[in-house]
Formats: sequence, structure tokens, C-alpha cells
Amino acid sequence: MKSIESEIKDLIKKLFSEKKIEVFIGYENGTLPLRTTPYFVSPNDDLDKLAWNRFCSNNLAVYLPRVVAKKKGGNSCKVGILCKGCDSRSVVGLIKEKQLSRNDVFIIGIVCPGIIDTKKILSEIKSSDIEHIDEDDENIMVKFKDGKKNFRKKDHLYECCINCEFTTPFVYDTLIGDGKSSSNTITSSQKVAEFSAKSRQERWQIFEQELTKCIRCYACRNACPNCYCKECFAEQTKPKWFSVTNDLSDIIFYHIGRIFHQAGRCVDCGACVRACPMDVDLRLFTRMLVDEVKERFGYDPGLNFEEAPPLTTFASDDKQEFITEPS
Amino acid sequence: MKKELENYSILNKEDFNKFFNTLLGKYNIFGPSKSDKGDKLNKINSADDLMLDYKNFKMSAKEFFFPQCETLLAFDPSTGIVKNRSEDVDAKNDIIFGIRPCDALALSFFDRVFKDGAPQDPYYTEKRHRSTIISLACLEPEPTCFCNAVGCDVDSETGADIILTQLNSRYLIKSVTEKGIEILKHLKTLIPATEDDIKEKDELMAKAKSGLKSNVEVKALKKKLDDFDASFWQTVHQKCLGCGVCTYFCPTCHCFDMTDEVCNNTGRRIRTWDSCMFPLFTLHASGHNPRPSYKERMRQRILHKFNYAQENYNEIFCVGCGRCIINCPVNLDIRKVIQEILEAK
Ligand code: SF4
Ligand code: SF4
Ligand code: SF4
Ligand code: SF4
Ligand code: SF4
Repeated sequence: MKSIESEIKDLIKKLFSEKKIEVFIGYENGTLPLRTTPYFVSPNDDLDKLAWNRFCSNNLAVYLPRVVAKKKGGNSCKVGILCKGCDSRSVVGLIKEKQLSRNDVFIIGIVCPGIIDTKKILSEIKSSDIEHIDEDDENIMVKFKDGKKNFRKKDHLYECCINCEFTTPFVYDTLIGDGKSSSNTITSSQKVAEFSAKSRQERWQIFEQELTKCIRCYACRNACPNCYCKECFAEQTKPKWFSVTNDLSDIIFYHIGRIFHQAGRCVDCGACVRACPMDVDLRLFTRMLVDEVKERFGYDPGLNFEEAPPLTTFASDDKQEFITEPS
Repeated sequence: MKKELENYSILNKEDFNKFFNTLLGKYNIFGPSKSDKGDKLNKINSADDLMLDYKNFKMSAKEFFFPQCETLLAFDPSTGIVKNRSEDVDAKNDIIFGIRPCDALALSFFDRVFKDGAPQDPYYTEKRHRSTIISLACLEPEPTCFCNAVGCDVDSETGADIILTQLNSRYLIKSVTEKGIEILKHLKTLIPATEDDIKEKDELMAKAKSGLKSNVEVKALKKKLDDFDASFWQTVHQKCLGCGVCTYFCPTCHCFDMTDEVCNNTGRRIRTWDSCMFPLFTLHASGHNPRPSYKERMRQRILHKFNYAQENYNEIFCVGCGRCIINCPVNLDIRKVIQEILEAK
């Protein structure tokens, strides 16, 4: 049987030779252990380095608006992209929000087995000198300077992957996968549930505590496919919404703004969390938002083109207990 | 005493706390320790808080001298009267204890930019004059370290006033500058070093150097970079997200923005870190942006470090600390960028 990786390669070659795409965005192995890095494939590349494995964490949809916009100047062309379940939902979001059109992209959908959290594994290894990495169906075997250790893949997934309901893309041009998608049973996060069950004061305290780590670099924003605004409110000067400092109040203002801009749009891909150099657990807040949107409006973003985003519609049975009466 | 041993002394590990406490009596000491924001330079109040077994800490030492956000002056917006920053200068001077040689070297670049040239930056210079740098040689470089490729090394002394090497059960201490000699004078915990100590250090350093595995080669780079319109710029930036994390964590990046803000009838002038990876960095008031895309911005970062810095300061503004590699969300590795540029036709 052909490996998934070679199946993808063959398909990309075909797409290029049939001139269906001008560029393809996939992954290659990275320079750090247990990491891949985005790979912009051009038509004449020999694809040897193209990789598909359990470390393909980046959400490549983030590149689409700029790549498509750049290409549009010339002849009309398509960008090919490899999409896991969550990534495909981001692409759908971008299309729904008119950042690209369906014709701009050729989506190779891939049934996602769940991506492995590099940091979880590395935190269990003392040495940063990793010599060799191997894997079988169940385990990642890491050999490092002073020993070796096996890690069960299942126990080292990203938090968002543990709770992912949509490992198989709904929207794609071709779907690749061996059907071994993890049929997740834990589709809600206990950590987030515990957080949202707390009192408002307690939640605020945790929110503040978590954000004291933030250095306001905006990597979370830049990694998020939904954060495509040409001018982010955080950097606007006319009007200027808040101060440029690193005071906690300014950091909080930025996050409240960004997180609320994700309402009904966030697909819980985890890109923001992974991008954060300070390990701020942004998912506590973004996933709570995802859960609330689902609970109130029964909406999961990025599954189809028809359903209108909840914040753009009104239904008479919309829940509105959160709207407080002026006293 | 032999001439070459003159600047060396030995501190036994059991005397370390005593040595450190003596310094604590006279100086404010900042060193690597654990905190909310990860391992970083913090004020150290007891030798026990100090963390000297780290590889390299997350945020570089630059934030001590060049904070991410610094109020430079206050003003009254109605009268326009400027109040300079209150000079509640502490009577004690500062010691920066136990930073890596690469961070110390990077500080020497900051000196060139902010202190030794004209105009001189008074905020930086004041902090720098008050401080002594005690660096700590690296025994076990990280896989992301490539200091030896860019003119730094595991035992590089530039930028440090004193350099410490952890020997077996002892510290070998070398004073590099007059400032360093001054601080170590009369410290009873220090004993003279012997030739055997130096030999042990040399062996440890040779071993550490052999641990530096990145085969980055920058000699031929400058010439390649002289071609401003080279075609490799079309591709090396492609996966960059423009987040600027590489420059925030970089110990040599020193760009800043200035903002005047008025709130509750007091105004203040704030200096914050900026980055050439941000589109706003070069956006003109007219709306024109001379670096309109990721390509031009990546080119600026690479050219500034590996080309302009050589022209202006005869240095490479990268000390090979690897922070940009560790923290980049898309694993855009500067070593690989260098390699791709060198391999480009
Ligand atoms: S907010 Fe975070 S989790 Fe949600 S879509 Fe954006 S990057 Fe993904
Ligand atoms: S990526 Fe992390 S540190 Fe940077 S702004 Fe976002 S939360 Fe803050
Ligand atoms: S950290 Fe990486 S993605 Fe962010 S600006 Fe630097 S190179 Fe680009
Ligand atoms: S460019 Fe990267 S490796 Fe070089 S000094 Fe800056 S952070 Fe360190
Ligand atoms: S590389 Fe960029 S951010 Fe760093 S000092 Fe140069 S221009 Fe400034």
C-alpha cells in the first residue's frame, strides 16, 4: 500500500503538471526535534522533502489570504493546500468571510490522526540533545543523549486534538486518509469546563494570572487564520483604543478584543496557543468561547458554506440570557 | 604569580554563598531565576534563588538595559512643561550575574549603538554605567546554539567584566576589565588559581566547543548579501508570519518606537520595542510603505544583522544564541536561511 505521504506527493505532482495549481503549501521536517515546518512547494521542486506526519501542527490556512492576493495580480491561479480537519474549517471561514474564493484553493483534505504536542514530549525529556526519533503505530520512540524513552501518541496530543470533533475535513477537493482518524470520545475539555464553571470573580482572577505571562508580541494573532485584518485594532492609532505599554490592563484589553473577535469564528485549531512563546494557555478562553457559541447558537464554524455565522443573523429563539437589562 | 594567572582566581563551591552574600551587601544583583515569565533575569535576594544550571534563559539580558516598555519622561499636556524621569537612583550599583557569553557579547553591540556613538542614549548609558557583567561560560551548549559560527564562543569574554567557569567543585573566576578587578578586590573567599585549574578549564571548554554542532558558515555571506535584489529573497521569507518574536527574543535587536500618550491630564513619552518584521515599522504617514511585504521585511532583518552591522560596526549582529530558532512559531530557522542564501546561485 502506498504511504499517505507518497499519495500526497503524487497528487501534488499531478496538480502541477495539469497546471491546476501554481504553488502548494504543505510541510517538511523542521530543524528542531519533533517539529515540522511549512513548505511552499513550487512547480519544479522534487518533493523529496515533503512530509506528512504526526508533527504537522501549523495551520497553513493562515498563508492563504496573502498568497492568493499576491497571485491575483497576475493570471488567475490556484493555491494547493494540505488541510487537516481544523485547517479546512479555517479555509472555509476565510472563504465565508470573503478573504478568498473557493476557486482560489485546491484543498487536499487529510483525515487527521491527531497531532502530537512537541512540548509535552520534550518536557518529559531532560536532555535537549535528541539523537534519534522513531515511531510505530502507537508510540514515538525518542533516543536522547543519556537514554531513550517511549511516548504513547495517544497521551501526547495537543489539547485541541484531544477534544477535536472534526478530524475529517468537510470541505475539500480530494480527501486522503487511511480512515484511522481518532474517533474522539472526549469532545469537551475538562479543564475548560472547570474554568467556565467557576464564579465570574474566580474566572477573572485566572484570566489575569494567565495573562501576566504575556509579552504582547501578537504571535497568537499572527498565527491565527482568522486574524487577517490589514490593521488590527491593537495597533490602530485613529482612534487609538488603548496604550502601547505592557501593563496588565493593556495586555488584557488586547486579549479581550482578540478573543471576542473570534466569537463564532474560532475553530479551536490551537495555532494561537502553539505560537505563543510564553506558553499562555489561550485555549482556556478561546475554547470556552467555542463552547458557548455552540451551546447558545448550535453553530460550529467552518463545516459548510451555507450556514450563516451566528453573529450575522438573528433568530427569534436565540438565547439571550446574557443580555443584561439596564437597571 | 605567573603573569597569565594574574587575572584568575578560584572560588570553592562551599564558599559560593558567602561570596555571593558579600556582593549582595554592596550591590543589587540580577541573575537568572524562575518566574511567571519563565526563566529570566530577575532581582536576586538570596543565593538560593539563583539558577546557574540553566542552558540559556528565555528572554535575553537586553530587557534589563532596554526594557520592552520604558517611560522616558512625563509632561503636562496643558502647559507643555516636561518633567524628566524622576532620578530616584539607588545608592547601590548593579551586578548582572551569570548571563551567557553570547548575551554579554550582544550587550557590547548595544553599547556600540546606544552608548559609544553619537547621539548617546542617556537611559541606556546610565544603566550600563551602574552595572557590572559577570558572565558564565557554557559547558553544555544547546543544539540550537551556533555562537562559534558568528564570532562568539562558549567562553567569549567581550561584553563581560568577569567570566566564571564552573569547574569540578570550584569556580574559576577571571576578571576581564578594570571594573571586574575592582569588584573582586579584597574578597576573602577567593584564592589564587593554579595552572591545573586553567588546564581543567581549557579541557572543559574544548569539550563544550565540540558540542556546537551547527555547521553555519558566514564568511561568504556578506558578499552574497551585497546583492540587494537577489532572487533568494523571493523564497526565504515565505513561511514567516511577521510576528516579530525572533526580534523580541534576540539579544542584539534594538529597534524601538516612541509614543506620546496623555491620560488623566498627564502625558508621558514611552519607548517600546519595535521590530522590522512588523509592517507598521516602516509605514509612512502618507500611507506608503517602503517595505510593503514579508519579503522586504525579512531582507531587512537578515541584512541588518549580517551585512549592515558589518559595514557600520565591523560586527555580525547575531551572537548565535538560538532564541529566534527556539521561539519562531513556524520553525523558520535563521541557520537555514543563511544556508539557503549561500547555496543560491
Ligand atoms: S483563535 Fe486560536 S484556536 Fe481559534 S482559530 Fe484562531 S488560532 Fe485557531
Ligand atoms: S503570543 Fe503569547 S505572549 Fe504573544 S501576545 Fe499572544 S499571548 Fe501574549
Ligand atoms: S519569529 Fe518566525 S514567523 Fe515570527 S517574524 Fe520571526 S521568522 Fe517570522
Ligand atoms: S538572530 Fe537569533 S541566534 Fe542570532 S542573536 Fe538574534 S536570536 Fe540569537
Ligand atoms: S534586525 Fe530588525 S529589529 Fe533587529 S535591530 Fe535590525 S532592524 Fe531592528
